[in-house]
Amino acid sequence: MYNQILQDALFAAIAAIGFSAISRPPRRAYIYCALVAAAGHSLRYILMNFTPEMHIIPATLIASFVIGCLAVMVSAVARFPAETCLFPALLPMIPGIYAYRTFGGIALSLLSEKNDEFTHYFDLFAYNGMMSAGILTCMVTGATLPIFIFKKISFQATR
Amino acid sequence: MNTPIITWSCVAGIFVLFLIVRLCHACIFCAKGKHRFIEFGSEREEFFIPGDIDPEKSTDYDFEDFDEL
Amino acid sequence: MTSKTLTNSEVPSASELTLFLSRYSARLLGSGATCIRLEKNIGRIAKAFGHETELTIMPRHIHISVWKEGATGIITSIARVSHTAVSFNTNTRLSELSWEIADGKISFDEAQERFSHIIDSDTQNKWHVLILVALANASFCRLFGGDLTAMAVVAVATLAGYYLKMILLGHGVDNRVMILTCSFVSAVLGASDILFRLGSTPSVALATSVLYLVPGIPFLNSFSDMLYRHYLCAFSRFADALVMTCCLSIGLCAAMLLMESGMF
Repeated sequence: MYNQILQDALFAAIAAIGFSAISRPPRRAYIYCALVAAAGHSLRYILMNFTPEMHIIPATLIASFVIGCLAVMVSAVARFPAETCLFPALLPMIPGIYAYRTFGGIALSLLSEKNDEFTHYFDLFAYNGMMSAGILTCMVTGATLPIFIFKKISFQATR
Repeated sequence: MNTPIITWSCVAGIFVLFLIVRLCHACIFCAKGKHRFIEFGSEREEFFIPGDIDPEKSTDYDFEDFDEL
Repeated sequence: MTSKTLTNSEVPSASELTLFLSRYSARLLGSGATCIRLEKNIGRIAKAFGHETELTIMPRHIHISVWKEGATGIITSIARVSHTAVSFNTNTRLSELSWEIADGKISFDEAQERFSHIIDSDTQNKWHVLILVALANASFCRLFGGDLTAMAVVAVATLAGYYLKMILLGHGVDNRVMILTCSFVSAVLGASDILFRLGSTPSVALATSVLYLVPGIPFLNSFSDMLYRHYLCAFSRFADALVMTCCLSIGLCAAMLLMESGMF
């Protein structure tokens, strides 16, 4: 169990470091991005697999809210805007497989020739699309709310 | 028709070809001596401070260091 | 706080300040800052020099009005938002600059010099980024349950796609065309698992091979702008991100159809 959680945290941290490089953060931010991502993703993993096996949408909301709070705290210590940490830390939670199946559903329902086939693929498209949209909305809401709540800390971080 | 294998081969082939062409360009560029890996730099290149006069661009032929002393 | 009182010679004229602020705001917004950060930073700088400001932030332009406290003349300038890559380093350093000005640590001339230096010194080793992104996407694949083969395939597909992205952007190719091309190439290479029956999780490799192109920062910024009721900017950023996601999906779908990958 601990092994799985640690593995999840490690890969989330590597992913966060790599993806933070795309948005050119200050050098000191890499380590904080990795820590915040590891904490957030492993929390979601725990919520989804161990505690009463929470659904992915509320688990994402809680984990992204924690990521947002951690990012605000870290920004005050390391002196960079909280947004620097947010994107790389949230990226490992992006519903990649759901999004992939959504587009697969669109493509196959467009190409289907029979009505049953179309209904089946449209059903898959609708389910996966709604899941992706739900997860994305929760992720973004959860992560940006702490910046809004702790306005003073987040806008004085670079002072 | 075996579309997937043709698509994959085309994409991979074009990409590898593209890489080779760029590598050759880079090699030719280096071979012409435009980009040396190791070279002796002038004193100006080593101790340049923004604002220093570039002797090649300077039109002030009479300038001598001891004028300022 | 150690603030000092500015003497008359250190206070810039309203036109000088407007010019500086319009350059500053164009750059800050271009480097991925949110509207609220821009408003706060601009207000802070103007106040430090005894001026008031009002901003209108449009999707591609910033309309900035500056006037001296108590004076009747107003100077207005319109700046086009810089078309640069997102850079949180620039974002951080420009925010630091605004605080240094507000705390009276630097003069107007020094601030201008510092601003130019911040813009010129924002460089990054692109090869480091290429390797880091490939590693990150491979880790991503692992997080989604991919095996070692899938990770290796994703790393290669990302290396190829990101390298292509660097070249296309270097040649000034349109962002949307670039995303479409890169997602197609990465997805075709990511489908190697399916084509050659390499590992046990081929669909994970295909799905994760394009994730490095997800426009996450525009999505996050659009939501942040919405929270602060900058609806126009929020909508514009969202539309921008949506168009990029559509291009990504078109590239992915085209690759999926050509590679005849079983999706479900």
